[in-house]
Amino acid sequence: MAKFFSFIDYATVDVLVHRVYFFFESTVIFYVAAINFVYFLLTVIAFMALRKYHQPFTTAERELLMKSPLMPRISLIVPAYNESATCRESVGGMLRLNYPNYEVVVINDGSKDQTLAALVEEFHLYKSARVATGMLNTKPIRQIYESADPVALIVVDKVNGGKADAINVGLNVATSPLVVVVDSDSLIERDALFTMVKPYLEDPDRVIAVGGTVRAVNDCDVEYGMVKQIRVSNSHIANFQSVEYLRAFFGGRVGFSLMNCLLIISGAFGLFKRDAVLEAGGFEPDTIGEDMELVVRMHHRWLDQKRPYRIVYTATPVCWTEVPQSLKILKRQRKRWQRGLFESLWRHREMLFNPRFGIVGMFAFPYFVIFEMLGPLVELLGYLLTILGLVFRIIAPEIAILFFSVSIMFGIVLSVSGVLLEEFTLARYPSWRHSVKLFISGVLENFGFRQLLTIWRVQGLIDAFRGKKGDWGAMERRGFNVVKKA
Amino acid sequence: MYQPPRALLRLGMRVIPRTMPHLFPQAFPHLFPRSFDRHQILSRDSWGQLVVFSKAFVVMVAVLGAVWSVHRNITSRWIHDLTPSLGVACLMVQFVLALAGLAASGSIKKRDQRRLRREAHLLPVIRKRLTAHLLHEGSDDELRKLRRQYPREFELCLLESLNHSQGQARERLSALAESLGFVTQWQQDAQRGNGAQLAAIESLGLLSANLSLPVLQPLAIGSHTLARAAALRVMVTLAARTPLPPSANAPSLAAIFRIVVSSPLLVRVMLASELRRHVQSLSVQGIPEILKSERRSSALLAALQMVESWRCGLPLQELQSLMHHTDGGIRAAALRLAPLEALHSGENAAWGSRSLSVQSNAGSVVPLVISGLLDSDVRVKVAALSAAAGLQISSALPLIKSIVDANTHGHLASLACIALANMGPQGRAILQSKIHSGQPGVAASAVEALAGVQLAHAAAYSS
Repeated sequence: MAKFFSFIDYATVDVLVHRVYFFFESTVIFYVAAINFVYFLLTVIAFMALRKYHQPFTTAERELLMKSPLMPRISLIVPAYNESATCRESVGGMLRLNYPNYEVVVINDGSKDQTLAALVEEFHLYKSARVATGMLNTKPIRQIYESADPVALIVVDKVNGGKADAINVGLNVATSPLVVVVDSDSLIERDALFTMVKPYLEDPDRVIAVGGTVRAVNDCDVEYGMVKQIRVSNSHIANFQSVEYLRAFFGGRVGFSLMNCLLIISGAFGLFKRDAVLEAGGFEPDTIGEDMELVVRMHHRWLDQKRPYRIVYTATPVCWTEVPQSLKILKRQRKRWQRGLFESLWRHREMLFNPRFGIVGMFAFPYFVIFEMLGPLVELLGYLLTILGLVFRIIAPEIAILFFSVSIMFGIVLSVSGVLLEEFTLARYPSWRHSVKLFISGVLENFGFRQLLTIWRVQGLIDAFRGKKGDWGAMERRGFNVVKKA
Repeated sequence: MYQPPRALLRLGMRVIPRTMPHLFPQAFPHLFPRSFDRHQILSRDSWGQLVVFSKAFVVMVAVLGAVWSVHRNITSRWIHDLTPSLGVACLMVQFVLALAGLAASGSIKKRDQRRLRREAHLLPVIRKRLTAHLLHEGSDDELRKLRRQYPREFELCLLESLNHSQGQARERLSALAESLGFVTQWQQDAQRGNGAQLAAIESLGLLSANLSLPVLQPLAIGSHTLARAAALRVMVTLAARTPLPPSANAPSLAAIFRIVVSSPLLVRVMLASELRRHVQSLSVQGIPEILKSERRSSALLAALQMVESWRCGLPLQELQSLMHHTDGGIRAAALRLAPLEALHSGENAAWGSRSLSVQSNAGSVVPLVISGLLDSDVRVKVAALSAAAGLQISSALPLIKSIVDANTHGHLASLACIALANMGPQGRAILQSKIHSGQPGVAASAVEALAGVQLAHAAAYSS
């Protein structure tokens, strides 16, 4: 046997292995440096821009707007599937918003539970004469209902067709020039519509979509469909996500919005010009990340036609949503998000590094492909290489620990920045103890939780490559922490 | 005096007795325009972005500089390899940043809590002193001392008092604000364009026109939308507060209306309810001038939208002339006003009171609606369909039927069906004939529209 391998020069092999290893290791290090640089730049931009561009209306201005007969009408489109646990509270909350001229359109997407019955009973619905005027192709509508109470509520009962199809039905039924798409398990801040519509009022000819902020509602006190008291959750998993949401919304999206290359408007809370969405063809039922796909499609179309437009993010209107507290549900959600990301980017791959699409094609799209889509793969590779390097003594343990510490500390800096940016905008956490708790979550998430997310995202990517189809992605509802009246 | 060479004089240089720093811009006014506005070179948005990116760049350089500095001065002394030394330096800077962020977050919360506690304690005291001042009691020195010690709280109370006072009391408080330096501060803040600008404009609105108008007038035509809206709002209040002193050189409501309709949507939305109170005077002076003289479609359309939002009509002859406008949007807006015009009781009725009238005069606007139905612009057709259905114009039935038959624009045909369904038995009879027309799209729209009307009747009876 030894004779058989005698032709191998072990010294050469050793050098070769080292070279290959260091090539990959250097690539990972360069990648980590680049991603951290971009994240940090976006966070710094957020610090500079938040105070300047994301101030809500003052009380006096809101009072004036409340009385104004020229305020554009808004339709809240609320797709619902098996939401009987939360729909009364959330729809009730949506009907109590401060805005002079709006309607709520709930679309029951063939729920198998008592969602429709709960809505009929709670809001005294009757069969309506309304017809859908939009031209988007959707699954058939069974019946349209309106409320006998003095509220502008329309409930559409339709054959099951998925979330995107439900939103398209809402777009067909709504008649307002502006639509806000909201998840039925979400609660909206009372003045959120004013803040949401502000960019449109400032620039009605160019603004075609506005994204808001989504935050975790777990363990917060809810009264009359509104979040009354913000609390840090008792669940570590929920708190990790709270920090993650703060970081992603306040840190990343402000910078992208400023450069007019925002590729994501959360499906849980986004305002769109109805005509623009209809012109773009509505939400795509065949994709799992329909929210991102629509925004990328709008960029694609408007840039292709060289028409001036803006897709913006505004930090102050907040939508509160229940985040998963079980790892099983969280895993399903993250895998779905990663598949959605892949599908959206793959459909519009023509934009990648294409100067015809300006900053979207040259910066935002590559950022999402390189850092968001392939990020988990590189992170996993980094972990594997570090472990291999330590096992085969290619790298010194001190260097591995240092590299790991710098990466983790960077995540902590970004988490603290997210918490601090919240102070600059809404400052909804009442005590400094909350900031400390979130800070601790920002530290702890790096030990296990982050690695789990990485693995799930890689699995999501693999599912996407295998062409796995999407569903509603329903999650177990715990219901809101409703304050009991004495 | 300095005498420049003739060549320079020919180039436009003026001789001015000034000191050196001012010499150049004033000598060449065409190169250094006095009212230099940076937004003429770069739009407000782009300028703002440039400022944000520049600041971000400076911060990034500062952080990288800090890492390099820690590496050079601290870590390289005990770690001799470059990479680990830089890594530890980076770690140290990150640690400081994280701690600083946490400390900042905590201190903001602490500061706000302290401020609330202090306000709860101080505001009643200051309010009491201000009331005493209005009653000519207490000394001004006490007020000065309070203003010096607690400027923020004092300003809050003063504004609150100004807001709730009238006549002589307000004048006395204005004089106090001026003597304590608040007026100068508000005037400066209003011109600065910083975070305090909007509050300063609001504050100036509580003072007399002489003090506020010189500052507000440039802002009312400025490029900052919210400042523009705030300034115009104050000007509307001042213009309505009669009589204005001639020295104030205040713009009339008509002039303000002209500025408003040329302003961005946000300004129009914010001013719509304020101006609605003055619709009577605007109908005499303001709206007619815009309709006659305005050539820009955008401003004219904005004026028509505002009139429509007030639920007021326009005189028939105005509507007729607007129907000849080249812009389809203007013609559609005019047609949307036609039903409101049809509701007015007489030619001489003031526009503001027309919405209260119930007497229908649909006959006068029929020709307009018919011409709208024949218009080539879809927007005009849609407005005409709505007007025809709303006013039940039976002579329009053949034209609406022809729109359904043509079915060139699916959405338009569907709207025409809904209009027919709402036009009584004759309209519904046409629709029923369309169900078996052999055109699937038209038949579906007809069924949907008829079903809608039937459900509406059923709902009306059941309720």
